[in-house]
Amino acid sequence: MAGGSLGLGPRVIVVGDPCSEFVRTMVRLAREHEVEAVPCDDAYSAVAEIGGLADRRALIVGTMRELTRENGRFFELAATDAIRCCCFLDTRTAAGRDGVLSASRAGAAVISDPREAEDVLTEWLADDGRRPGRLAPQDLLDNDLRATEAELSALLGHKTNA
Amino acid sequence: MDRYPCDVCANVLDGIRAAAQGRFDVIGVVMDGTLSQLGSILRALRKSTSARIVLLAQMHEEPIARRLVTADPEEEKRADAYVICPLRLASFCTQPGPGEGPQTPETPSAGPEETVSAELERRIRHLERLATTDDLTGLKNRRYIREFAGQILEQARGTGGRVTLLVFDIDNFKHYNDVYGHATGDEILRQAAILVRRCCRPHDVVGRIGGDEFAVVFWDDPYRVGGDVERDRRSAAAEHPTEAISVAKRFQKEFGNADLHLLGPAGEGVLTISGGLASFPRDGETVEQLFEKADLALLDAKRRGKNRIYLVGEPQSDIAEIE
Repeated sequence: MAGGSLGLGPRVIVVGDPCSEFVRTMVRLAREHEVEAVPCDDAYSAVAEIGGLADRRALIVGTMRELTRENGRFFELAATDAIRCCCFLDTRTAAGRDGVLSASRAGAAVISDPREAEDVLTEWLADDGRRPGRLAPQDLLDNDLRATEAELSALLGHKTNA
Repeated sequence: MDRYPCDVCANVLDGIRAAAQGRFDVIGVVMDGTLSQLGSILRALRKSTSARIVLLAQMHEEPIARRLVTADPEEEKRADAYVICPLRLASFCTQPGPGEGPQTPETPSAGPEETVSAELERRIRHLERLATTDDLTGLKNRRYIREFAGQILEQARGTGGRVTLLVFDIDNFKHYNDVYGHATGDEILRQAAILVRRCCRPHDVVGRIGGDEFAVVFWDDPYRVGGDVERDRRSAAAEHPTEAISVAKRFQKEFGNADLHLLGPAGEGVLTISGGLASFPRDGETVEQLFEKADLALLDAKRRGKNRIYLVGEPQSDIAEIE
């Protein structure tokens, strides 16, 4: 039942409060690039959309709060279908360090300004819309991982052990 | 079991994905643990699949489950049926939802084994009803009320929620029974049940716990669909027992105005009730303590002239009249 549209063009699934500036901006950006935008209130609804995509190309753009639900499982499901994710980290709301890390490890782009999403969108449209799935921690060099964690901790205002 | 292969998803997102991709006849959703996300989860499942959605509820979740499976003109029906755990998986395919036929078209036609199973299920559910329902009024019985209150208190301890217990009885009920006969007495009890049910919120649980004695468990509704759970909880906590008091007063007023033809020309407006209210955690920590306190308040209401509901106040010795 999900993904009832008959078209086979690329689709941007926008996850978050439909009244938020972020979601409205993303829907507008997608339409400007002539891409179908599908707003979803939450990660659960987005998973239902993913389930109905079949072979259709999709980019998922959503708030960090929604996409990191259920301990980052959302990213794993997206990675299974090689669907690219982009997380909006709203610095005005709390975001768990683990959630940000799970997003990074899954290869999701993390942005802190809705306007940055346009770069992600154009890049995605330019290539084949797919990318390698989730990265295992061992796939990252130790220094890379530490740098990422240190950067994230600094961004979130946490102290690090490094 | 071979007839009903079953996939189990420990993660909600996996479950929604499986629902979207799989060909399931029935999707079971465990209510426990899904709490504030339940509305979103059910919405996503509806979007994903045309399979029947069955809520797997614990006893204290039954009021919410009942509401979610009840079609409301202004609200989307979120689920098709619910079962109270413990349960048997076969019951998913044999138990029709409210207002539905015995089986959906997709359900395999019943063979002898299924017929036996369905009959067994029917009997089990009948026994469940007998064990938890008051035969005369259709309300929950004493056993259910105490068990339910115990579960709700346990939940409230963990979530900071509040629970209020109202115990009331009909003033001079013995007199009506003796003068007008037991059939009239029974009718009064049935009318009281209808009125109190009408006055309560959908998730409040109402029971008849003795001859003419009734109880209502008022509690926070953590599964309120589409609402801000934390805000509602704070609000409900702040309003307890105000909400309970207003329900009790409304019921008292309606009952007093009820027109009971069986009592003759003077049957309207002669019936009154007395009751006692006790709240967790202020007045007691356990079911026994709350019933004891509410009973004391009820007795005091009787002693002071009936037709009133008393709230256990602070300090404990101070019983405040709600008028």
